[in-house]
Amino acid sequence: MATSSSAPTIPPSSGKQVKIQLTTKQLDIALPEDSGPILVDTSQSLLNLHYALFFGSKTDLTFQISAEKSQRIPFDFLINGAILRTSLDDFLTTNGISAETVLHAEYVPAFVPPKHAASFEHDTWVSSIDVLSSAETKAHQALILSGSYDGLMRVWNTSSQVAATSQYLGDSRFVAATKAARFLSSTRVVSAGMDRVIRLWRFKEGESMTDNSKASVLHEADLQCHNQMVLAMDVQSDKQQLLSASADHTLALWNTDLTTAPVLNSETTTTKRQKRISTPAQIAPLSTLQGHTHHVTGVLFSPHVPNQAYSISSDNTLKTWSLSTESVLDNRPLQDPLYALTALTNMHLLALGSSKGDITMIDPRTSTAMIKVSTVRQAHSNGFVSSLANDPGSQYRFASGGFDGMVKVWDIRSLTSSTMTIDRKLDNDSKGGKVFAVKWDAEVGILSAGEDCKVRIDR
Amino acid sequence: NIDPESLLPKLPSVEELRPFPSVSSSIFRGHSGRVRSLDVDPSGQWVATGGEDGTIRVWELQTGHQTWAIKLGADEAVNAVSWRPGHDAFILAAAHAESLYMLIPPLCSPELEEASHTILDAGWGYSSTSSTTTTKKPQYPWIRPSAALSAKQTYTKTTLRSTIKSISWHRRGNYLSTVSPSGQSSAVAIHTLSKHLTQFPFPRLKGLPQTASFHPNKPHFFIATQRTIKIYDLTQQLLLKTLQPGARWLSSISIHPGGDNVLASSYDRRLLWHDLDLDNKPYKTLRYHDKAIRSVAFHPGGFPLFVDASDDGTLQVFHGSVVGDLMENAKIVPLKMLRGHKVTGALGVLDVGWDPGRPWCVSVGADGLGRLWV
Ligand SMILES: [Mg+2]
Repeated sequence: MATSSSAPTIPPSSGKQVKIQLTTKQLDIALPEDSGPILVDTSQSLLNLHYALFFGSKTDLTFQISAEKSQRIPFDFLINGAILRTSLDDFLTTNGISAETVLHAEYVPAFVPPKHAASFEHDTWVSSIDVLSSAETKAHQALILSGSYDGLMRVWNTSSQVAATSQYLGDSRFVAATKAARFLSSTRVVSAGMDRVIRLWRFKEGESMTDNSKASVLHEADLQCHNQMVLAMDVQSDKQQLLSASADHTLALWNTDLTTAPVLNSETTTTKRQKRISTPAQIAPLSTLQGHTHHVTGVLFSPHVPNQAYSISSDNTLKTWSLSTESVLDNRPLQDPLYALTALTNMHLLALGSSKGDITMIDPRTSTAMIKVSTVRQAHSNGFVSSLANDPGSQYRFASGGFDGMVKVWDIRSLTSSTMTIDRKLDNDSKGGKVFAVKWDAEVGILSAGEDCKVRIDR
Repeated sequence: NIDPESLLPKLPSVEELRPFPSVSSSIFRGHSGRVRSLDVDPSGQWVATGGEDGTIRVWELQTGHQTWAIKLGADEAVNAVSWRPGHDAFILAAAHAESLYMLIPPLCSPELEEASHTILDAGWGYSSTSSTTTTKKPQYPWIRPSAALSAKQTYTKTTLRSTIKSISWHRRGNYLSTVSPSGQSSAVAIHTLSKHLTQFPFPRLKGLPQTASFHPNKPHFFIATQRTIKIYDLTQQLLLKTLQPGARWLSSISIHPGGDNVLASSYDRRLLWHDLDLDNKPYKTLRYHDKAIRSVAFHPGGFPLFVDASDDGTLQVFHGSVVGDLMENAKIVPLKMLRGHKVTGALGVLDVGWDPGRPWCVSVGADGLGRLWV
């Protein structure tokens, strides 16, 4: 309990002080009544603001945060929408604000850096990850899907045990890597990769949490139209729709409901070489979207507008598509080839990752005449930002994975530096440790996959 | 006297000349021993490398993942690899010792694979029918490689008299040339895919040939000997021009995609830009390296860039824009020195090539590694 008797001594004042009016939008951490502007020493770091919040005011603090805990799990302070990262003195100087001014600061719970919780070992590089939440599983335990360069998919329980592994159905003359894998539902999985085919799989859970022997991933259907490798996918589970992005410069839209999906006309394909034991359904796309002039590297259903989607490409563009008219609604040229895409839904922002290691925030709604773009240069150092994932717990945060072996957490209110980093570089720096996929799950935490042949979970 | 250079407009800043490769990204690890050659495939998904370990390896370009490999032999190097131009097939030409191989790595669609087979199969028919009209069997027949290699998508093999050091395709993909510097009268070969035919149209070259290249849009052919670059008209069988780069020993040449400018690199540390509209001397001589320059390459299309590779372990990236106007000369600006390869046994970067669709280059070195620069 934070009371004045247990409060540590406020560091001695350097003389310069500023009045701050503290507010919050979150009821669970709001002060019971407005304390009015409080005086804070400007020479000290952020910690002083915490002291001010908890001990500087005369208000009786009733919420249950101990003095010790408040230091361990601190608040962030937002002034004019940006997180305060410097001392107040520096802030006042940089922004030319007089110490006479009453500063309005909003306090929010600061990001609690997750800790390494588990690693799932593979034999080869891991290219993709997805999560099925515990609420959707019979065993009430979250399941993790990984796709790897051995051309397989594995379903794991959170105790790092493999529940089920897919069969290799790629080309027999080389190991055709899996480049993308997703849960479609609690009973279906989709994968795609170097051998150009998108495969639907029926997933069956084991009987219990401890017995996974009956879990299985069984081949159900082939989705065929791409003639180069498939690099990325997005799913819209409620509508049973799938979008795929390929190095053949196209996107394809698919119906994953096999009872209504269009069947591939066998005359149009010459797949004599691809003999199969059983004959799974051969599905044709609802449409293919043409317009990019190089590999399509990322795709996303619009979180706001039905029948709209975004795609990125190594032709340097972000495109907005109408899926109903199969046309480009908006085309945004950027500086460099693009490799990663995620949406900060509530903020109406897309985050894009480039081959130069830059991350660009872009509002896809604004007209090209008034583009509002902010870019973090060299967010990752060895080129490619390979993956971006938004924080399901905050509309402001997202994680990025890069070929420099780092996973970084960013807050759009403070993009000058990352909020935290997870170092996945291999022991010997020169041996790399490229991160290929990042997924942020409300339950499981930050999952990342890469060249170190691991899925790593930080929670 | 006024220096005419001082009257020229100031060169733009390096930052204005973006994009160009500046960052070392993926590393291609797997060869044992020096990596001699590389080429990025026309789709930009794959890069093939050839090494002194006798292997060809095909890697996913972006990630550096080794996806396919074949060992052509243990004792001799794969000195050159080169993808057939165009998007209608997926054929890799490779030089191992004295032999030229045509391969179809299994990384393409069944349709593309079928098309590649058709292109390489056409010549079998030709050689059998032509043998009835000509009494002599071809001196350098195209044969099917051993069963073990055939099973691994090696399609044809032609064995010449001496070690092949370079390969160059004609843009349409039916002709390619090879150069065997010690091959004397059969040093420069021109091969016709559709006829499985190997010919030696230049039996009396003066000087030791080093490398050769087809003109990008005219029936012209460039042969670099140790000291000169000879330009021939292939239809008229005529020597058109002899360039005098002023270097003691040329290592590599690259023809600008427009066809009017030629870059040559030399073991005596020079990089020479020739404008074919000007005289036989270089328009610019560039000295940016402390050691031999082994390779030079114009970006094949879309970006006004060129890059060289040196035994000092570095690559130097330049802006090089060619203006259509005859009155205006090419603009050359050094952009970035790329460091990363380790000098190993006094050898550094052995070859460099571009991604055809992006401002990225790939290099291979004596350190056994390949590097993607983005
Ligand atoms: Mg000119």
